[in-house]
Amino acid sequence: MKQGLTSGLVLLILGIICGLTLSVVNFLTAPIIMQNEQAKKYESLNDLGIEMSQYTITDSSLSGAIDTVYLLTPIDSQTNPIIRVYSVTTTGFSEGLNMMIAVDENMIVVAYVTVSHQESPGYGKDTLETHDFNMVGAVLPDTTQFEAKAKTTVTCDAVLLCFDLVAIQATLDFGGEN
Amino acid sequence: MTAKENFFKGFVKENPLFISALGMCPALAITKSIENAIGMGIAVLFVLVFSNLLVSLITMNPKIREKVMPVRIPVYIVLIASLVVIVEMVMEAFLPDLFETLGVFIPLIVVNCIIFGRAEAYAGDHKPLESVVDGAGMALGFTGAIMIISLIREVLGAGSITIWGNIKLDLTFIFDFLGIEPISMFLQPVGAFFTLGFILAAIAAIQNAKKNKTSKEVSK
Amino acid sequence: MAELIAIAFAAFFVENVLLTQFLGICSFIGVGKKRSSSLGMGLAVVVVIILSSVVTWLIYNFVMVPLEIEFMKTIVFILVIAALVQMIEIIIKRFSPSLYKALGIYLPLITTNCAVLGVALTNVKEGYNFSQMIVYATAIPLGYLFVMYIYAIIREKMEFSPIPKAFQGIPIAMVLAAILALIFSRFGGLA
Repeated sequence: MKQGLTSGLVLLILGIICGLTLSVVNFLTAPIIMQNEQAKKYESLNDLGIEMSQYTITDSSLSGAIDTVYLLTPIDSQTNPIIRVYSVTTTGFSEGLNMMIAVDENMIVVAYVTVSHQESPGYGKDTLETHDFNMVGAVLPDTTQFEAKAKTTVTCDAVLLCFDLVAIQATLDFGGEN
Repeated sequence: MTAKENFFKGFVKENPLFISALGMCPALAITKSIENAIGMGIAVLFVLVFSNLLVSLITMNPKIREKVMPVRIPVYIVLIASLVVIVEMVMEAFLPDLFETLGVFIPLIVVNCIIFGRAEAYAGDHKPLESVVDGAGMALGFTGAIMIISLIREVLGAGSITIWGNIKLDLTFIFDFLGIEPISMFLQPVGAFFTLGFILAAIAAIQNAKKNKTSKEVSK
Repeated sequence: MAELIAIAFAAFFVENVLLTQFLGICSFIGVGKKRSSSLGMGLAVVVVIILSSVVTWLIYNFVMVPLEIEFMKTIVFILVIAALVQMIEIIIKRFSPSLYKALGIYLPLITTNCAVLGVALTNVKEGYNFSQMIVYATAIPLGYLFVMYIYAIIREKMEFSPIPKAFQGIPIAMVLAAILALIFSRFGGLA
């Protein structure tokens, strides 16, 4: 009986020591692992040029043209506003023109980027890759400052539709907070 | 046995993979590129050195030894598993890509017979320093062995040598010169079994030749 | 239902535990020499993997996740498996001596069989729900048993073949496994 007790005690002490060591290591590595995972999950957001390390990111899925909304909550809420990034898909000349549009809590467009598209080379493709639609700084739902490019009306309309759709969704999302 | 002999015995004479045939699962599974083999080797080195050290420290003091011996198997399991979990967490944090490729084989170091075998067969009744040297030699021998397998598989299968990250040697020009494609079969499971089988056969052939030589010398 | 069948098919053929995932190779090479021993080992593995998967899955999802100690999973799982194997051994020794005679010698080997821990870890890594976990944890060891039995049949026949001296033992076993792996790799095209 005494033998069993000592054995149990030995195992218990060992278990406690190991458990403590592991929780210390976990405490040190867990934040880095979390960061890595987030960086990987939200890799696509990097193209927007927003400093992602300043925000904690959560995402939710929707159905319809806007498939995903990423909510960026600033870690330092004094200097940075809350941003919502919308992944929106419309149809230009071909299906599947996917854009990411970042809107802050004042309904100002912070950044936007075309993620993928099937537009024709020489026309819509060039417009999407080189033309500046001058939408950064626009206060939604006002999209009058949108600058289309001649000869690529269909593509530009599709892009404008993206902004319009985001404007509707953003009004709903941010509406309750103002 | 001198410390030097103790260290180098794991390389050739008592190589854990090629001679003792231990740790075959990782040797087959993660040897698609040398980078993976090096990553696995570092993990095994850490676990084996520290498990040998801790086991020999615990069993050094006769009083503690007496209390630990009846439950030594669970004690060893807990020690080894803790070390593996530490490696797992550190690797996931600092080398996430490598951790992803090695996948389940990092936690599976726990059940790698080499670690447990050394704790039971060596560290349990040797001094801490000797055990560390033994562990380091064995782990490096294992690393060398899986690097040889990876070298064969990667060169023949992909036509490249990836040492770490972007440090990569491209050998496709040799295949271009010969007018053939790299043999992708070597990157698949088939290639793993084949490569290890032929290496083991080559070693057996060398051993047989040596044995014949000595027996002839004796008969003379 | 279709999803469960897909998991079972993939686990049995495409991701065969021995020939694709390389888990449990030591026992494969060591025990797969004779049909009787491969059957005994295979059945013991089936029992242990199913039981240990259920227990570890329950512990992980209902104890470790609420306590946020997921990082301890490797150490907890290996202890659970070791304890479980001991318990199974004691129980069948007590209640079915004939079964113990058949499986008993293989049970201690199973704790260090990486397939058991590997399946337990894969279950939680893939985030399987209970029914998916059961299907996966049944199909994997059945695939193990299947391959091991075929392998043992061929190796028994090979006893009488003129094998070059250097290839005798493990090397020829590896080459044979390579040929089986080549056959199984073709199942990948079906999935």
